[in-house]
Amino acid sequence: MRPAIVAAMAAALFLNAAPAMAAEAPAWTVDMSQSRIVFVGRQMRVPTEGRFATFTATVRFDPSDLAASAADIVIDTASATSGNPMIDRELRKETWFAVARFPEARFTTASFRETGKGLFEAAAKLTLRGVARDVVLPFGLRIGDDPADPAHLLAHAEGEMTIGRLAYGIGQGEWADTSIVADEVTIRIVLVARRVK
Amino acid sequence: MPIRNTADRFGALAKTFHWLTLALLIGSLSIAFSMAELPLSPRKLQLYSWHKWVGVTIFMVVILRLCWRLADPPPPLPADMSRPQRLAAGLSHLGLYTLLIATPLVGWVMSAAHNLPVVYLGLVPLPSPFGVDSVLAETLEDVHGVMGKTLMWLVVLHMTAALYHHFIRRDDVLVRMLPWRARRRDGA
Repeated sequence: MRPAIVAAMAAALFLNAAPAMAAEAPAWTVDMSQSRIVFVGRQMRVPTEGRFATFTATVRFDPSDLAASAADIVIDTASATSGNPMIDRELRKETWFAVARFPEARFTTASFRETGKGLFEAAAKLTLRGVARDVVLPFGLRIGDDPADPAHLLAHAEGEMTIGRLAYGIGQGEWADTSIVADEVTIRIVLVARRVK
Repeated sequence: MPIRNTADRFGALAKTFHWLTLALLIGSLSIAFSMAELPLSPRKLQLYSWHKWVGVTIFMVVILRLCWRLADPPPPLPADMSRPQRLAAGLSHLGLYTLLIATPLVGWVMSAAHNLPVVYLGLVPLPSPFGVDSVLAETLEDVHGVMGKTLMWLVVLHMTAALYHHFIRRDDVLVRMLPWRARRRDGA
């Protein structure tokens, strides 16, 4: 094959590929050591905080191009930990997260909306215990230079929402009684991510 | 009945503190024994919270009671009690007061370490002094259990001593704490 043809094909590929690349916001690498997904349940008005120790987050985000932005978080339900072994064992059971049948929970954004300076809302699909529901996660976002590495940007996003556990079938049988264990569960998501400038 | 203690009888406030402490302690121990062996369930969590509320109440009542005891010292023990008997009475009362204060304190720290912090009456969240720590929680659970059972046996000892005073020594020690008015029986 002659070099000119190769160059022409490469140019054609590039020209075709360019619009597709522009349609996606830049990818961020999530720092798992600083990111966390926390849940707070309440029984007898006593808050118990736990977190999902294992999850993966795929984030493409550009505050000036929200239509091209997307985040997808896949959570290992068996990694739920509260620091209380009795509670942690219970959460894995069929009446709670049913981790044997539903090893993953998922949070997938559908769209973003800016609500103020550094404030956004993500409309998302939250799938827990095989039940998918629409949720809205308001979050704050700061993007700046990474102090540890001037070639990178550092982003810190933190949002909190309240869901009803019973809508997902979490806490069944005797646990469905909300006079002891509240239906409302607070979920807090903190993502720290970096990308090359 | 006078509010303050007299030379030979406890006053109304000291008696109220005494019998209120007993009622609360019976409640706390009853809940403790019925919740301990339950599998995790809404019922168990409810009993946990009730037990903690009673425990916090005992702590506060006993602190107030000790303040009042300082302001209004108890009537003296019968003059004919031997030194060992006085020592035994002093030690057992010291043990009762110490455990009435310390057992709820250990329970409070243990609850926080278990990530089941105390929210008094479902209204007042108590701080978590050392955070969540399952190893600490397990240790304190054992300590709390031993303290609670020791307290129970000290109460049995206390009751036995009161009956000994009443029926064997035939002195005034039990009668002077009875909630109702009783005639002195020391022949005076």
